[in-house]
Amino acid sequence: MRGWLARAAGAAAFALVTACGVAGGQSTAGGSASGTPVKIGVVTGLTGTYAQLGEAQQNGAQLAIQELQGKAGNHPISVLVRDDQIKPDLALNQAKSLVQVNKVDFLTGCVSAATTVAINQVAKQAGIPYLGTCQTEALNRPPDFGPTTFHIAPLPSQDVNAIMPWICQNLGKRVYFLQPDYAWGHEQYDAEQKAAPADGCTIAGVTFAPLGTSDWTPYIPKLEAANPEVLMVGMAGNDQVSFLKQAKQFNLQSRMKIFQFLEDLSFDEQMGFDVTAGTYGATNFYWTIKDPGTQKFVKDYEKAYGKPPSGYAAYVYNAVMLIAKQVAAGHVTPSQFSKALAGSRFDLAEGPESIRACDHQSFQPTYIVQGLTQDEAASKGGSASYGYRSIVRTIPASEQQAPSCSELGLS
Amino acid sequence: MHLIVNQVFTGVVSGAVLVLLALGLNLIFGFMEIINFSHGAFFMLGAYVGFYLLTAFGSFWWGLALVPPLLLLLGAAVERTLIKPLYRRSAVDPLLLTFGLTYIVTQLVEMVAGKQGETVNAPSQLNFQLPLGFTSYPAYLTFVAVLAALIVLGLWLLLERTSLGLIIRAGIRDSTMIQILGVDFDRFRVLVFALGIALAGVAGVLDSPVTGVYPEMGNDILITAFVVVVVGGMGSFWGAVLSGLVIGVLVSLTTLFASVYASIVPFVLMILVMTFRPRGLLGTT
Repeated sequence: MRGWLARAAGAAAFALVTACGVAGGQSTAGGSASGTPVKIGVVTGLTGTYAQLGEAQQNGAQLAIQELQGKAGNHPISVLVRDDQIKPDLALNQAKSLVQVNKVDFLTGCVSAATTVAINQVAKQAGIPYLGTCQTEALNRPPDFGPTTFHIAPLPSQDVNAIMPWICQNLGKRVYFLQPDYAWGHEQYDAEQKAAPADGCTIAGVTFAPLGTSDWTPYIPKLEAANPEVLMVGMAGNDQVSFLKQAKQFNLQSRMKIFQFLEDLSFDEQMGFDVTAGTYGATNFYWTIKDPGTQKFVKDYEKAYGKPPSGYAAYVYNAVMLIAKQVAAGHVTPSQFSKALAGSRFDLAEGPESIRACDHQSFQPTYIVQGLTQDEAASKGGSASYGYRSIVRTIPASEQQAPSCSELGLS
Repeated sequence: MHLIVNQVFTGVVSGAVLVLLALGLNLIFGFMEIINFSHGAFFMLGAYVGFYLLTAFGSFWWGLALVPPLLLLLGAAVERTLIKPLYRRSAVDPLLLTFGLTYIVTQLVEMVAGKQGETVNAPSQLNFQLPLGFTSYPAYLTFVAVLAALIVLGLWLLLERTSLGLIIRAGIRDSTMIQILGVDFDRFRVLVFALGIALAGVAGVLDSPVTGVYPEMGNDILITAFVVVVVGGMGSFWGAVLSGLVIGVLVSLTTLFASVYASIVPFVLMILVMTFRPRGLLGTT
């Protein structure tokens, strides 16, 4: 039995490795000559716990190319989307393949702090720009930060520092933190540990749960026993959806305020009004933001995909548009691109934003949103079908919310 | 103490779905000597079929009532068309076939339903908290535990008190002997495989309001179900039941004290059992 089991496992492993593919070849910097095609590689998680975020990123990239009509100035521009299944090793292989086989000129995309570092590593080695589009503390500081590394999603600490004062003032002082057990969850909690006491809150407890947890019932008695006033849910994707649905079955919402560290329309759609009503969440994009750039993006996205966009679609849409804008302006080589984008301001899908020159970190407002009932959706949420939330507070972007350049050793 | 009791009960409820899944795997392995790698895919398929029936008819109960016969038929069709031709070949072949079948079923579901997954609401009749003395517990989760117990009991009665069960048990013990005695072994193979798949489908439907439905849901739980079978003893009915409940409770208690280690607990238990009791908790050989 053991002999054939081992042979079977070996064959399966070989099949998996072959399916994933390992690319070879040489890296070249392309797109510098006038009219040369410019290719953008998008590595994102189309499978797994964060599949809804990956699909949104794919949609955002394709919508941007559609709006650009495949042209950035006189350069044809295109995107190649690859699925990393939110696995760092696969993200590394996909990014390598895009660089070495497909000869992409730029890399962007990511839905996990665990994969973004791998993609950036490939971009740095190839000397091409990478625009990270998921929350992480890694990209804007050594050792991962590089001259062509940009982070156009917020740092977890930025959002923590933006929302924590509001939570402590408006929802309750005793906060329990339920975090995903990987880089992003720990980065959140590192910032929360500092921010909560400083903003007048106490920490009722913390639990880290493995990424991909689907059965949350063993976690709930512990949360109830801690008796917090606020439960901060640090998970995203299917983990957040399944937790909140199970919390609803345990009627947790009636005993504590629930705050989602990352709100996203795709999660709300999966949960439905019954679950989201009365909860709170933080986001850096919401489709009802009254900004001309945002509303143009929302209108175009609805036309293309039949529903409003989520924040992760906006990140990659912005990334492709930023690249196209610089290419059209003649800033095609990595150094030209980097020099032009660092310290710049732009107004695209998420409204006005800036990129700090020292660490290439973007700064954008944070929104606190509250879940509405289905009856309130049309009047307060802007749509009977998608009006899951109303914005209750807009916290302006501020460099005070992030570590300073000197703290990062980049001044 | 109150919290411990609560956590143990939660573990029993979590273990109930594992037990159903492991019993199906165990039946197929015991009777047919096939390690069915596609069991998780049929668990997922059952959950999706239940979701679509819920969407079409507006009631969870349609899914619960129709998925077992539908998966029974599907299981029989898979056994007749894909697995039967491999019986005279190496034992590796069915394993590789079911391994490949997992990918095919998962990809087909992704093509039809998308990769994002869907949420499933518990039936409105069970949307309340049930007072259990030591705690109030969601009625739906209590229902899952009770129904799983009834299915286990029904399956045990089928195996122990019917002539069909007698043949299955004899086949598990010595398949050559029952063929020599003139039993049409081939006919029972299709029945056992279909029954195992139907159990996976029921488990999928019951689990869907807890975890939602998504294409990879079967991959996640299948590994734990295999651990349950190995810990309980390959082919042991009550071994799978005991092991599923023990693993559910241990995971639940570990979540209370050291949540980051909860996911490795089943594997630590498997290593201990394979080291000190290789035949499993209640295995006989």
